[in-house]
Amino acid sequence: MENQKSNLLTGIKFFLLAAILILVSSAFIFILKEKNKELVVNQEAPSISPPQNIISANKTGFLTIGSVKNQYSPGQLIEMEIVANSAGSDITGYDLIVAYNPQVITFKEAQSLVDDFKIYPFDEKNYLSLTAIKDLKSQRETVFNKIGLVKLIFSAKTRGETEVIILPKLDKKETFFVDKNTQKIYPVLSSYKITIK
Amino acid sequence: MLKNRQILFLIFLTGFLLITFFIQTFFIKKPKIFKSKASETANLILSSNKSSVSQGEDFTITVKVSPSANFAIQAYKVYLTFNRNDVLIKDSGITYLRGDPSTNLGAHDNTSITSINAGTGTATINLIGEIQSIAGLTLTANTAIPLVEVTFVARTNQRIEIGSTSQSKLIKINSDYTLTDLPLSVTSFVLNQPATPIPTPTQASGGVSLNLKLKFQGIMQPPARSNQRTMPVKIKVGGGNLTQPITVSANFSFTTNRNSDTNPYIWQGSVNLPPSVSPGNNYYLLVKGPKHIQKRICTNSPSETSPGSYRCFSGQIQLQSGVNNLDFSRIYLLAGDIPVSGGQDGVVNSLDTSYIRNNLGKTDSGVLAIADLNLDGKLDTQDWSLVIAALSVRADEE
Repeated sequence: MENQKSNLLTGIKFFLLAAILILVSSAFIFILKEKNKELVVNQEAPSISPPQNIISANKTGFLTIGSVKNQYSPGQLIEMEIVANSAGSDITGYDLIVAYNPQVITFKEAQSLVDDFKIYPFDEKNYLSLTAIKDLKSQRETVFNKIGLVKLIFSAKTRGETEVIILPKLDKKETFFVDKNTQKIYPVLSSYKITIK
Repeated sequence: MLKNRQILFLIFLTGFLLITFFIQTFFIKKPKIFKSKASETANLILSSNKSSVSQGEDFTITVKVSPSANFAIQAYKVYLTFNRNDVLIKDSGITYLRGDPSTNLGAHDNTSITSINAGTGTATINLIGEIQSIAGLTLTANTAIPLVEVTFVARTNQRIEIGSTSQSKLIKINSDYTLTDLPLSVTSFVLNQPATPIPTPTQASGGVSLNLKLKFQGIMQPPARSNQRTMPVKIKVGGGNLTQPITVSANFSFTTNRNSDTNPYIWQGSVNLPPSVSPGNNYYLLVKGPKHIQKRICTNSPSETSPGSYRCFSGQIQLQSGVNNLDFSRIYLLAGDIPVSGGQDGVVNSLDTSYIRNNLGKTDSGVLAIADLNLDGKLDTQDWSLVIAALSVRADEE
């Protein structure tokens, strides 16, 4: 009788301990997963040097251009990222003009960092004009909240300096976001200086 | 105290949970989600061997489809409508050119003609064809493939309209062999259409006037609304003896003429040029439609191998005193620069695409006046596809 009672108590203790272990393990797994998510988010938005504002009057939101470093050697690929803030507006398309010195760097490629948008780049030799449109099937809201918007890849050509500038307007082309009410939004723009040594 | 066996079990359990987590996190690749391609569309095209018929005369309507991309179909369902007061189906008048009639799905064939012709008013012909091979019928992008022919007998000398309904569709075979419905555009073919009067230019003696034929991208069907049958077009004349280009505008009218069944309809318009344009050589024209990219044209009768590929630099147009007939109907005026904020900006950009996206499905006249590029009376994925195609050209030619 006494022996049976002791066995029952041992059994209960065992199940309690097992339940606690499962709970602790689940919590551990959950925390690790969350941390992993944060890492991915941080990777999507690498740190970018503070931009120089070109035009700031009557503007909403911003577009900043930057790179992880500002010095490269000839032949190296230069990855630049444009970060966007649409100041709360739901965006359905945007246009960008990016000017650079074609004697110092050469444009290679533009990649959208936002899944819902497809980019149509046009290399005009000394500037890049880019139109991005939201996938017709995408119904989700796309508010740019300091997110990486576009990755521009250049290759360093010869020694020298160039400022990669997001221009507000050139010929008939302009830099703007378009919101879901088909209104143009003109953001504050920036530039980034690159040296090829 | 826990027994050794139980402790071992607990250690095993904990280890199992941790190993499962690490395997799941680092070794098991998450399945890739493949997004489907941009919207595939298909136009339904109705063509006839005759544009006008007399009472008792027969004519044949050919039902064709022209897809926006290459894909295969397993079946098609096309519902043709006609007015029994105007026409009747001729005996043995239904011919399936592709696939077999799927009678268990309600397809009409030659055995159904008597019942369809019975009665008065509107009748519908269910043209439902099934492709028997597993691979289906392969459709090629922008190529019209005939599916069915229907021969009618006219009962009137007046206007006759053969139309299709919005239920018409293709049954598309996907890459994973699943089937998807692809709606077909609503269209119609009109016989005995009263001709739109083309204004004839009257020009003072010695003056130069132009009689132009133009072809606008995407207008494969007669305009759905009567107010879409004229279009204002801006024409800039440069070169020749002009120190700077001069701009005139003219209304162009829809005509039922076209170069082939798979070509857009031709629009015609005339304009008198100001006295500063004198007869001579080496002129060029810049032509801009109301929702289109400006095109530079340098010869009296230009042509191109693929839509929108014509380019020119030096003006070679010869203008004579009086009326000059210039046939630009063998090159496309690409659509895309729509007047979103009251005017065109000379560029196809995200403002144009966003306007169509944000107004998709609308049929109100204000929206149609701005962005109904194919003039089918609604803003849909076909207009979207046209503006996306125009992104490859992007800006007005100067």
